[in-house]
Amino acid sequence: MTLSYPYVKSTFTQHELGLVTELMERENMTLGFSHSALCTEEIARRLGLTQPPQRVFLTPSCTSALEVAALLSGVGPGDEVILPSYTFSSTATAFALRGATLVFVDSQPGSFNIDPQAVRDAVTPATRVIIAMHYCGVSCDMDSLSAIARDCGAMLIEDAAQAYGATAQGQAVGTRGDVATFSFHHTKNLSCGEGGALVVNNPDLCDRAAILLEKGTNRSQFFQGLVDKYSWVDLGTSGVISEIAAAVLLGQLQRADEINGARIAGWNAYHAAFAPLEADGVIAARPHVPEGCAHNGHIYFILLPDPALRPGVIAELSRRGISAPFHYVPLHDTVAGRRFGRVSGQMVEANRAGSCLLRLPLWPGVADHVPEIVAEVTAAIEITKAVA
Amino acid sequence: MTGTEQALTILLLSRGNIHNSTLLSTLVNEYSVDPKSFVVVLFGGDTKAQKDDLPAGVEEMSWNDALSLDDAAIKAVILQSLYPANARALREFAAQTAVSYAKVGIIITDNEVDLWKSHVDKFGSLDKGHTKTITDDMKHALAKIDNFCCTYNPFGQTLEEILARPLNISDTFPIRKLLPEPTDYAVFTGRVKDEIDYLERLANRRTIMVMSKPLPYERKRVYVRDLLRFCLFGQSRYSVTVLFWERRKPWKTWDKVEYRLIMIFVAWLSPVLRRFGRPDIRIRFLPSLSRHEYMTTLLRCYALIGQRRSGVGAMTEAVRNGGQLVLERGSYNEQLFSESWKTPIVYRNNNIFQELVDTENDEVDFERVMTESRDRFWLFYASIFTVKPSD
Repeated sequence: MTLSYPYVKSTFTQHELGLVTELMERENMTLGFSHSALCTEEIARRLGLTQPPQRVFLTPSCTSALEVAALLSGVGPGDEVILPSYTFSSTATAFALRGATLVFVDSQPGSFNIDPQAVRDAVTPATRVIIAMHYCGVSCDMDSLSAIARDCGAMLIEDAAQAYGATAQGQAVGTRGDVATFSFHHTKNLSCGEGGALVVNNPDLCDRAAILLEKGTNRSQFFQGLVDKYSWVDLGTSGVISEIAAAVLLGQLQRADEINGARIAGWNAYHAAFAPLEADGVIAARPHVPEGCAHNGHIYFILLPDPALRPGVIAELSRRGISAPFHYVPLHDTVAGRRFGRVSGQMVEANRAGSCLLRLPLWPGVADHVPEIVAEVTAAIEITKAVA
Repeated sequence: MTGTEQALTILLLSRGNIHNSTLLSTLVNEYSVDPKSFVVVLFGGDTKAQKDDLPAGVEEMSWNDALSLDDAAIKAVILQSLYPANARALREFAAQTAVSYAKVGIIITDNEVDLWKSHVDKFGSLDKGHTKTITDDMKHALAKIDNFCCTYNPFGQTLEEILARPLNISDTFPIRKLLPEPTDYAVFTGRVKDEIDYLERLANRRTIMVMSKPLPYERKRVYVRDLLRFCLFGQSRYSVTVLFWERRKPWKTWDKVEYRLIMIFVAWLSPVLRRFGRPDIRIRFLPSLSRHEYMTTLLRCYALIGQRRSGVGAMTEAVRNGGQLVLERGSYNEQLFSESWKTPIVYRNNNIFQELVDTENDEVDFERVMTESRDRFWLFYASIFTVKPSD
């Protein structure tokens, strides 16, 4: 019997469909930007952004939000940006586009979030930006990173692509850095197909962010009645999201607790089921969530005891209809990473995650199937060992 | 206890014991014991550091709460084997609750009876002599307990001999699976076994495990010598992989020398002799294995050469999954498998490796063994557990 457990499953319901239908039945679907405005209100409410200078901007993707964050940071040739090696290329390429030098550092064991000690060791007089990427929706050690950024005068940017709904010490992830970016890509907990958000926590950056996202014009001020016409005033990009995508996203944001709650149930079921297997040494490790952090159930991963097993395990599971992909190739070990960046310190954990990490299917409702998936994963590991 | 409360059946288990999960899973999933019909009381260990995962529906009662019960509130107390720690716990429990020892039963695991018999053989009776493995608490318990869950042959009759009194013997004990999680077990005995069988067929290989765990050399000397003869003079259309366990404890010097010489001889000479029509023999030494690795390794084995006593769980699993079991005549394990369970056994006549590559597997109707075991178990426990015979 072949199973059917994809890595991600759509969570769209009639609710999102209803919002899109309602929008499309209007004569002018861009008029008033009602859905995107509701989305930004909902995100601001969720993050607890009650101070007006703090602003949420919807963007076509998290990548575009990061590119705007890079523009806001003002980095250029000769400046250094410290970031984890174990992250997606978008985190890096936004800053490489500005000509900055990327400085890759290692991750912490267990969470694979950026290691603050490695960041501190990597700081130089040229450091302008530190990027905290909250892997798997688990918060980085923001207290330590904030202190380092403050000490060296760098801008702290949160790449919270995976972390919508996560908190640390009761505070929403995405509210500690100067700016933060979120993703609503198809693979994320909440999705509008492709979309993102830029959250500007530093009030000094808000006005410029609005200009950059409006193709470099002061169109935003024009709509607020602050200027009598708008014109090109700065660099910029088309950083706005379509209303159709916003309608879908609104539906998802309104169901965030339901979706995240069901994912966390699946995450917890995996974590309990893999505990004896970790103790037995069948797997090398389960994820670690630091004290005080509440994740959003974005990813459940395991570490295999031997990198050589991973291709076989993935293939075995695929044959059984279970999609269990690996994740990032550490950026320091990529063609572009070597071209645009340099390494600071050892890359023990990044390399370990890069070679041994396996992600498991996680979607609302997966909790009921966890015993079967875990049994199949265990079987795949043992079969792969036997073949080897 | 009020008149409306039901008396409790208590499973008194050592906290953190790796065999707890297999016992509880077997009772609930294989023997249809209603998980609500008993409570688990864990003794010893660090309650914060150690976590015992209980099957769904099984409740745990704290040690202190259990001590506050009285005889009327207790229907039965069940122990898994008897060893110094649980004998001490039982004595304390009985002293506090005044529970009658007539309500106490022991599920025999496998080799403890032989240990007690050796003590009697050495000192004349259980009461006499003192060793670390047979404490006063154990002697106290064995003098009072009459209920034993084990097969009559070989364990029950030996127990009656050494305790010198008639006992209430179930003539079965819970036959466990190596993997307590039912889904795990189904996947391993289904898909993993299919794939392993396929790989073995593809490699035209027969894998033979010598003993189910690391044991002294003298126990396997005869088989090691058989292997040497098989290497020098044998004939086989299969390649043969022989699995030995890495020896962890120190052993006698000459044993070590002989063992190593033979192994080196076989490992180095086999590829040469293969050119002259001798069998293709490979030797692997097994390290300590996780439960799942062990299961996979067993599934791979065409045959398991078992020891005289202990290792019943592994041997059962091998037989249940179609493996050949090789046992010495008259040994505890031979009596258990051959006489009590009537499963086919392979005996060593000339050269066991030659025999194993020349013969085909006997079909084992293990479901018959399980059915008989369940029937006997239900009879024995009818007054203790709430059983669902219709399942």
